Amino acid sequence: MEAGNWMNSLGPVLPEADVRRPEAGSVSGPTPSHPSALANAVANDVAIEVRNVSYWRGAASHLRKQRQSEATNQLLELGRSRNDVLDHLLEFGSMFLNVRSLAQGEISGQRLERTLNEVSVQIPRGSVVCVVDIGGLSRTALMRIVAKVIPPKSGEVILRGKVVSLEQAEAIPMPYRTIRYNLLSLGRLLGLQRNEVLAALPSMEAFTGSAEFFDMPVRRVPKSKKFDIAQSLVCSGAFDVIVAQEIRKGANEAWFRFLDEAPGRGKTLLISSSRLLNDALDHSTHALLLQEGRLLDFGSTAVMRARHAQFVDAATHASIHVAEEEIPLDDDQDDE
Amino acid sequence: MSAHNSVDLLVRSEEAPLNVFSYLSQLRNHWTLIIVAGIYLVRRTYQRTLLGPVWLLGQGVLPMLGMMAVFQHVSKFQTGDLPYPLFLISGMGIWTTVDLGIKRGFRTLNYLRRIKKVIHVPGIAMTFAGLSLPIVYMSFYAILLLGAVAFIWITDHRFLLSLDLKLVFVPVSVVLALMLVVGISAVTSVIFLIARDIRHIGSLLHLWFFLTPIAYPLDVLPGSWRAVWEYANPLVGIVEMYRYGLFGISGAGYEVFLAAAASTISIFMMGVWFMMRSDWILDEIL
Repeated sequence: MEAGNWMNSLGPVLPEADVRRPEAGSVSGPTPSHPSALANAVANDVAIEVRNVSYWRGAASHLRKQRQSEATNQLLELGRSRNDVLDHLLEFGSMFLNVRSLAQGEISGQRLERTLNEVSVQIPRGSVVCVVDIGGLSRTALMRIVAKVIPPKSGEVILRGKVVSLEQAEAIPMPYRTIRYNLLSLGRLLGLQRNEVLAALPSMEAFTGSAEFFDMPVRRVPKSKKFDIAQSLVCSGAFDVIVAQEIRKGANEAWFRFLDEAPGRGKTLLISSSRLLNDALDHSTHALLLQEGRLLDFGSTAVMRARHAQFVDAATHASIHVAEEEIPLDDDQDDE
Repeated sequence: MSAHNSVDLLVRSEEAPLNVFSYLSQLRNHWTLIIVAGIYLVRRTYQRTLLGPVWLLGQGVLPMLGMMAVFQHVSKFQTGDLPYPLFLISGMGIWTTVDLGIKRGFRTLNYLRRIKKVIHVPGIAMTFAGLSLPIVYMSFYAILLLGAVAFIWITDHRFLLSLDLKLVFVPVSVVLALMLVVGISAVTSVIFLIARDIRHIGSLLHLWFFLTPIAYPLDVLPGSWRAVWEYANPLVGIVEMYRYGLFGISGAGYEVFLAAAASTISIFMMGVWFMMRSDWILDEIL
């Protein structure tokens, strides 16, 4: 199968007229707490419902500045000057003792900075949503929460269908095993059945255009090819909600075609990019704007671009949020 | 395409860090991950080895053969009607589960942080996944034990297993041993992420081995120390409970079993509580 034909293996594309692209509505009324009540409460054409979601982080750096008490302060000073490990242990201990207030988003009576602050939004099924903010912290948090990579500190997210993020699809647990073996394990972690992964494999091979890599140990596969394989997994797997935090330069052409055709297949995507934000906006049907952790606006991309031109421009030219460092292969090789 | 009618709910209640039971109940949603991560940890142990799981045989049997060769000739270590090899295998089964569980357990979060970084899961689920290798070893020792019992039955015409109600103590003691491992690993695996001192816990485990009646019967302990041994070390009660369930003989009474169960459950709950609170901080240190 040629790379260009990989979409055919997924089934016929719905005609444009059948593609539902409802406008987003706002959340109203009491929040049901039981899952079955939620099932009834969330409209069928809503793929993702975010309800009063807040997220905060940085307690460790906050503690470094604030310190907990004179005694801890002295200990930290003592530890810092002599031993990094002791320093970290004391910081951990301070946070551990303050978990109750940490859970409420404050330390020593001081409110921790909200990366997301009471964000509520309904995202219609079959939409490609470009998440835009200045700096990247808020969108990263929101997209990771929707992808179930991190839980919200407060609030809730209701998802219809299976969700996956590119970040998850890139996580290869066993570097010494083949890509194919890892995909089966990863598929199970992401909620796919073995036969669903096996069914998606031919389409993935076509997507990447290089089937030979699937039988190679992961550590021998080039990084760019691993990214292609991750993209192929999210595109070909039986997922309903796909989160792609970073549309990268040199992304596979099939990926952009997928972005354009996904709404017709009823798939919902959350996309963004630090470097290619304009490209991401071009391929999106909706835009979700976050400003200082709050929802600024949500609607069709054209309307958002017109209504918030200055904000979108600022986000496009803002300094790039530095991605978290990659986890080393293993820094603890000795087993016993 | 998968069905759209499934609804998934993500909630992070503010009360969660204060409720151990609701934290533990979250494990129901993560069994698949626990199993996949458990298999990964077992495979990881033998990856890049020529002999693979054959090492299980060597690691499990060789130290025991050495002890058997020496200690069965020590008159004080004789265990009445129960042949010493059976006594030792039963003790080593529980000990290896705990020993290996703790040695592997403190590395679990470190080994699995690649997965934890991209899939939200309570840290305690990872600790449970870490039980996979101890369970493999436990099963290996169970097979070895049954083989030894069958061998004695055939050669000596004596069937030494007690097939009555006492057998209930076997699964109970195994579960307690695993709970002990979870309780200790939950704490050490978090600390290990910050301080690698935990890596040197092995020497303490050697000491613990000699303080537990694995290779010797409880009767050899001096009377004045015996009570301290029995109540301060939960593993004494667990090992004796296991042997009582298997062979109907034990050097300890029910009160020791109860004390062991109580202290083990306390250690387990403390570990879960520690991991539950640490979960709020792990994002910062992972």
